Amino acid sequence: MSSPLLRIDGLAKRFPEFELKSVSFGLPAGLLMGLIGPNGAGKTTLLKAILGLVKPDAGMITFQGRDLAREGAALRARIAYVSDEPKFMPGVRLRTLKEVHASFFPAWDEARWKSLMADFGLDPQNKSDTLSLGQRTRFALTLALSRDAELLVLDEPTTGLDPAFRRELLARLAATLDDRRAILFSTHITSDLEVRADLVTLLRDGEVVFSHSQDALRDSWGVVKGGLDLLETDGSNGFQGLRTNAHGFEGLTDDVESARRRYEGRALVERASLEDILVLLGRRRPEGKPHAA
Amino acid sequence: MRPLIRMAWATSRRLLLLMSPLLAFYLALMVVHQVTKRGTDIPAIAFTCMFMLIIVSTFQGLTFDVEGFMASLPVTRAQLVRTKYLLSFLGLLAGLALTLAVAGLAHALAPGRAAAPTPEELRSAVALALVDAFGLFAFLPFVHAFEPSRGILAFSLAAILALAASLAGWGLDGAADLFRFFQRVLAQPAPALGLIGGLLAFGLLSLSLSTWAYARRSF
Repeated sequence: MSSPLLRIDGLAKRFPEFELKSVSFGLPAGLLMGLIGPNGAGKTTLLKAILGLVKPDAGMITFQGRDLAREGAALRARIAYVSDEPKFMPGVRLRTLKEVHASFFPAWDEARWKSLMADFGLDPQNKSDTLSLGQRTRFALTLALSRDAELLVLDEPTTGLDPAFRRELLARLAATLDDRRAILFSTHITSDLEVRADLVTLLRDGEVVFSHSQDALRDSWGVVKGGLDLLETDGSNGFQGLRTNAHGFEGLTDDVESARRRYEGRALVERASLEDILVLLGRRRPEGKPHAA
Repeated sequence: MRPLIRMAWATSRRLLLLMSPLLAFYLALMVVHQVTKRGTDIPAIAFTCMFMLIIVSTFQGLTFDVEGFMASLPVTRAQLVRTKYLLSFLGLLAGLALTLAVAGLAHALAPGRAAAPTPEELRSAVALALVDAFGLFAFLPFVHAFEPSRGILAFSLAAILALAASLAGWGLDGAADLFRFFQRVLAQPAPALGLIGGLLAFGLLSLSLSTWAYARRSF
């Protein structure tokens, strides 16, 4: 794997109600990384820290090997960001907003912007405060995709978009990747990532649970489904997450081959989907024990 | 910084539209004041300060929702602050020019009632602008340290305390004396330059405080 385009080392930020704890991972060029996690896991804080919107208490973020804290203004010319709820100056026409925005970026591609506006069903004469959330997101995407950015940071960009447009958007995003560009994409809709993401990073309670390729996740993570008697025999040790009901349990393991050997013939062991992982890991493991729901 | 000024101007155009009724009221009041010339300058000072505060705080409010978006652009926080100061300063100059233009217009339309602005009146207008600039420089660090609504609240509390203390110390006449002191100072070149220099130094201190505070804000 090549050296990361974006590298985050020991990033920490403390708020009164929440803490991002020593987050570290790398995103190489040419790849799309999905950032997943329950609400309040720290995804938006992390993305904002990359853009310099949140000042970290500790740690370092480098882009192309350069410190974003020191050279953020210059480096942000190569990083495009779409927030989870894009906001624009009220009462201003989209064409004017684009003109103002484009003036920050010498590599602005006007033809591409016009094409995206038409494809996304937006009228440049519309005013910003007449747009729905989905339309604002689409407009923010036209701005982000027309400036030849090398890193796209997208915070829940598919929220508020219809399924057909989501699929089209994901295909477009994947098509923009080349050996100098990468995409960091936070979402709740794990099915979007199953199709397109090369890497997946899971945040929970401000910590990175894992940051792996989808292939590695598929090879190692699994769900064990069995009767409650197995739990009584084996306890819940080894499960990263656990859900029980009157009929049995679902346990999440990060070592699917060991689980297969352990429960052979006694329980069903399947590969875990991202949704399985997100649901079973849940929000928190109380006192270091597997989560039970 | 040019794209930033362009962006701020796009917001300002919206601001002018929103503020046009208040602006028209203010201009009408200036004409009435010019024609009738009754009472002291204190109401004019208070009204002008309030007017400036409303304009600047509305501008801050309009940009507040997009501050995160602006800070994600390839600009430094210091550039964002400097742009706001520059536009506020230009707004102040435009206000001064408008005041003088209204005085001239009132004289042109009603030469019998409104006398041509005297040098003393011109100095009054400049003194008003200096009072405004002082208020602006005192106000801006509050909205950069906090978000606009909390910044306005903090500034208002500080202003009320300062006003109460000065009224207790000097009384209303004392405040008018201070304004007349400014007028007298402006009548002589060297003290006038000293006063303007002092104000600029206060402006630089205000800019430094705003830049320092804004760099620590999260969006």
